[in-house]
Amino acid sequence: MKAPRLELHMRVNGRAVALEIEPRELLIDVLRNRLGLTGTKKSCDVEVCGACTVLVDGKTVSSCTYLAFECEGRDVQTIEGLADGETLHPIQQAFVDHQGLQCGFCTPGMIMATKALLDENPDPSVPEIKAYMRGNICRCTGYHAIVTSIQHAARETARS
Amino acid sequence: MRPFEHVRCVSAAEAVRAWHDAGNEAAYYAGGTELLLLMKQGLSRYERLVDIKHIAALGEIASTQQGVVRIGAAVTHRRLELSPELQRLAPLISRVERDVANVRVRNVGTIGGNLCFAEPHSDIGVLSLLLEATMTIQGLDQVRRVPAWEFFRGPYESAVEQGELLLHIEFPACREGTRTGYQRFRHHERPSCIAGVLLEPGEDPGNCGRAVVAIGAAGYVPQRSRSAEAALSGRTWREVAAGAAEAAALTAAESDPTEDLTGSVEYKRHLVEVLTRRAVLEAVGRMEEGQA
Repeated sequence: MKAPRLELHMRVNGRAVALEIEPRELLIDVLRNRLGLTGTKKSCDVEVCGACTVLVDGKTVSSCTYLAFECEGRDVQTIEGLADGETLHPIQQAFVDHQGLQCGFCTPGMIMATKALLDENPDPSVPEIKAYMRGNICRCTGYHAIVTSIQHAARETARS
Repeated sequence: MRPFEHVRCVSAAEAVRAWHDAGNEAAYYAGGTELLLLMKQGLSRYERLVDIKHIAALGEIASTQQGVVRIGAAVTHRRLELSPELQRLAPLISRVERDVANVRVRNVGTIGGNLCFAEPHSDIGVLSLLLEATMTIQGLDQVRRVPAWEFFRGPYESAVEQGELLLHIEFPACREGTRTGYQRFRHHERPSCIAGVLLEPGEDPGNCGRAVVAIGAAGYVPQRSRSAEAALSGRTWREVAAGAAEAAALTAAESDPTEDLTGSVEYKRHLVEVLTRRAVLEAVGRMEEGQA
């Protein structure tokens, strides 16, 4: 069939964006290929690993399996939107300070999931952190350092 | 993914018409957490996705005067997890939902999509049998109700026929004092065996008046174990606890496990037995602690 097209208006990291898309276009492809926001990673492509995590109206979604038209009129946050110029977001800084990353491929997803977690629950316990983050997989086996980073991020976020 | 047309509907009747207008080339679309995986792989191809998320009634959680909790098919897992009303009226659903898949899938995926997909490892499938849910399904010219025990026909096959739309799922209110146990064995997110037990007090609150035992993920469809239910009903709570192993053995014997990547038939039957025993003891333990 001839591909129908539709207008998509959304805010990405606070900036208004208008695009013509096809209904079949996935959010991750629009972010990476159309908007050049390559911080969001495609890995498992089946909603299991969490590397493609972005926030839509503050909620985590797997952008690899999420149709872009769902973002009409909504706010999308990606890893590129967190830092304030050269100053890292407290969550990013905590991951750097506490070695919450090794190869870094899972990190944008880890940090966006942490953002959603702390927005919802500013002072999570370790079991709450582990339950929330279960859907974000790190293949460098860095979970201890990731949990520590999130605990420090919670403290820093509460302070700032 | 192949190109498709997106049609957003605001009523169930409109959605069913939109499906039929596409001449068998359409799919209903809510969260898409299952559907889009198949479409990305090219395993399913549709000319039209009929979006049912914007049908107000399908997004509601409501309780009737009879205490029935009615959940719209497009309610997300995350809402089931966090809904204060559900936590009060059907706490087991919220408790189980906390551990379904991951938070991203729960934010987007819906109860109706989960049931219609009829994936054999579904928690919602086991819950609907355990809590004796009833599904309401709309077709072109009729609305019909199907009890959970008739809903699951096989792997990825439910009682929802081509072009029919699942509207809502009703969970009857539990009697005061009802206690539940729910046990899963998982490989990462996916359960490879689930056992759920519901114990309802009898006329004499010192007795178990009625028991429901439901298992899932081990075989193609979730199942109830009538023999274990009979063995647990009418007993004192002490006898129920002492009979947990017997009920578990009956459930394992009645189960119909399927070999898959997570294990053989023999291994899965063993899991059914262990998890059923634990679920009975969990339910009795909750009774003693006064939790639902």
